[in-house]
Amino acid sequence: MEELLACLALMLPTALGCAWVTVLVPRDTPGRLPLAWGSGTLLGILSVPLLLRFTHVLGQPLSFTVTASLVALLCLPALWMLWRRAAPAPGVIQTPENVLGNGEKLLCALLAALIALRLGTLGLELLWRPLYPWDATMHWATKARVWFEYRSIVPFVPHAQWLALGGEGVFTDRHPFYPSTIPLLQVWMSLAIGKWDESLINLPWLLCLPGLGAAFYGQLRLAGAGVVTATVFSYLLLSMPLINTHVALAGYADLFLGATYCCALMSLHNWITRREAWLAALTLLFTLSCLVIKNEGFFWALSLAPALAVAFMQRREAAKLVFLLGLVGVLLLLVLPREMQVAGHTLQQLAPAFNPAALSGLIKSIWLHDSWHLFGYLALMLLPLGLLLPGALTRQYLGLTAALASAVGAFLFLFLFTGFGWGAATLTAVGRLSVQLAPGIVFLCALLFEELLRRGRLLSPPSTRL
Amino acid sequence: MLRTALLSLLLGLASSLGTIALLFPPAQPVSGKQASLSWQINDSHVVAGTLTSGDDSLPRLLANDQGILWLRFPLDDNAASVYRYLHLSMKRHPLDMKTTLVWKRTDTEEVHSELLETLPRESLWIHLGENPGWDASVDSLSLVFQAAGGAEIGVTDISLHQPSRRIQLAALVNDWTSAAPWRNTSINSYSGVTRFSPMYPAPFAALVLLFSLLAFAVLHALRQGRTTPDWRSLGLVCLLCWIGVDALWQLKLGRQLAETHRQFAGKSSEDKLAAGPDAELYRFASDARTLIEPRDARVFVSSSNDYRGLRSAYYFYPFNVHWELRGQELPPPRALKSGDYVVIVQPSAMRVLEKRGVIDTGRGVIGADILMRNEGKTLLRVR
Repeated sequence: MEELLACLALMLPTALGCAWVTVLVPRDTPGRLPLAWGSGTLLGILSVPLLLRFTHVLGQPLSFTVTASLVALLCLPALWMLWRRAAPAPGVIQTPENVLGNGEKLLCALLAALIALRLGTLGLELLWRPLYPWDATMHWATKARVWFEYRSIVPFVPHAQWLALGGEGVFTDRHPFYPSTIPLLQVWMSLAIGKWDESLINLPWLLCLPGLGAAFYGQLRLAGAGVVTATVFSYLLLSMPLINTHVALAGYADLFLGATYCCALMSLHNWITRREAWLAALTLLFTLSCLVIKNEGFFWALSLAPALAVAFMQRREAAKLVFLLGLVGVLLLLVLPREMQVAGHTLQQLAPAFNPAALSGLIKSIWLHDSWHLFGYLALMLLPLGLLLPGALTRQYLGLTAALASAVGAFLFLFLFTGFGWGAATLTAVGRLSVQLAPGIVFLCALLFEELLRRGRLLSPPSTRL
Repeated sequence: MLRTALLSLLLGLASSLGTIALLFPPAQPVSGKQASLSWQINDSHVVAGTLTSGDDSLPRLLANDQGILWLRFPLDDNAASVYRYLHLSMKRHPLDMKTTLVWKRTDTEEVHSELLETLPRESLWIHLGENPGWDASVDSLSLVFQAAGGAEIGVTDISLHQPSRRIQLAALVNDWTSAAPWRNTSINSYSGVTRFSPMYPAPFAALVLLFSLLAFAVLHALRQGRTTPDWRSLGLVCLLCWIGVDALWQLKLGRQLAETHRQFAGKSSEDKLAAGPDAELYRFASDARTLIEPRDARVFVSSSNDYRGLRSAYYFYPFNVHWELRGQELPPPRALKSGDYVVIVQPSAMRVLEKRGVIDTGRGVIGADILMRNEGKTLLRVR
């Protein structure tokens, strides 16, 4: 029974997200089904904490029945719109690019099987293992445990404040002000099954990975990638050990942030090239999601600004603006009081000072360890190749490149030049932050590879199939 | 296309192995010394546990009541500098067994211990030479097995070996294919190796990829001259290298899954915690919780060990728990009031003076009654 209720708790938000995204995505969109399913799953899951907060604001106790009813109600208009629109779906247009040879079909089937095997392995690990990783028991599940017990989002405050208040009506843990989204996901699962279960509370993480994979595949198809390229790069993304570990040892926010940031980037890129309203809506929703998952989400959301500048302005003007904004940022960093907090971190912590030890940690994490398989090397090959392709990084993918360059720049600045360098030197935070950025960089690599294929096809005579 | 990609990959693999063999040749065998040094179990000094004769040719080794079996083997002068590889072979062993290698250097009197990070295997090659502490001055090697009390551990071979290409490769393959149980650091990084590995798999795969791409370029130039290459073939070479390292990861995930299944499958949430890595902390917290009331009681968790403090605190939620990472173990005594609970988990700087009925915090005392005490963990209620 518990398992059935847990499935229901996953299916309801998935249905909500999928239904609305399917309404949004035009019918003739390439990769529509995986795109709608993947993006919808992520948005649906992330809408549950918002609804729980909504019921809390209304003064209602947290309840599965009430929230599930709300989810179902919100589904109805989307389902009605889909039903009204119901007409035979247009067949997939068979261009020479998406007609697959037998070898290509076999390759895609093999990769799909490998992905299924990985998801199965991770799923069983997650289902059997109780909550394990460090931070999960330090400041994520602590809140979930209390909120589930009290059926209310009771406040968490810093230790000093807790002592001053004598603990009256307040609780405390290591990071009381971290966003409530992740704990509320665990509360949602607990409410559904009616008890605290150290394994089942983590099921949303298992849904997040295929959700990310499907959205990634769909967005790549929309961006013009062929079925094979999209499948191969989806496999590369879903097989990365550190991303897998964040499912097997669920309980951290990084995978969700990585998934939403990647989806925001992908939607933004496709919006820049297609200028369709639904893509703008997806970009906005995913960007807002970044803000409510983890504090770093604020910086990743900011990294989309250069892409927007590129989208709306001439390149030269955009470069000037971005440079100016960067300068303003540096000035603010120097002028504002050290104690001031930005996204949960004081400016004192962000004061620049070079950390040489962090550099070896970064290199170890990306190129020596197997956390990312060969991704570090793949990026080393494809990104310079992208620079050699006339107009690829400078025009075609400029928005995406600008956003990722800003995010990677912030990532490098954080570890190489601030007090957070220890996170790279000790191989701790550097891996987790990489989980947040890697999916987006894989997307850019996939686009560059597809560009190489496309330009290669133009230059060389048709070759034999695989 | 497939043929070219596979041929390039084979050439790349061969070139990589050749390069590594050239760059890291095994040391020349020392003349006068045997290629291997094989110990009989009967020759060992059993420091802890029991050695009896078994039904078959194997001697029976039993862990003591504390679950420890400790075997020590003597080493001749300079033997450790000659024999760099250890082979450990087992026939029967408990699945939850932990194995630690211990040796002492006579020059520095330094004791080295290395917990084998891998789950137990029937045959395991270990490159001891990777550890800087393994040098000529080592005069004995101990194997310490930890399992359930009285567990039988069947060791069929313990031998030391001089380096050779075959053993180098066997140790590398063993290391890359062995599964290490999840650790706290697993969420931050995955190296793909243990502490005894001479090489990481990702750079090796990158080397294979590099040579494969070079081989591809040569093959392409020979067959089609200066035309643009088919990028799909290059992509396929990359993909095959990726699948190679991913297969190692999948293998480890599978082995870990079998271990997780053995530990937790079919158990309730509470039973999982009671069987998990924090079983001792959870059982204490679980029993202590029955003595705490009301449901919003304040519980102060004190420990100078971050991990034990963290986990103990977690198991006391949803009570109103106070625990600080690397802060003061307990707030000033005036911050505590009658009816609060204090949980002290050793190691801790807090001292319980039972006769006086107080906790000495070093900054003052707190009057408290002991409600429960169990193996270094104490629950007290503030008077």
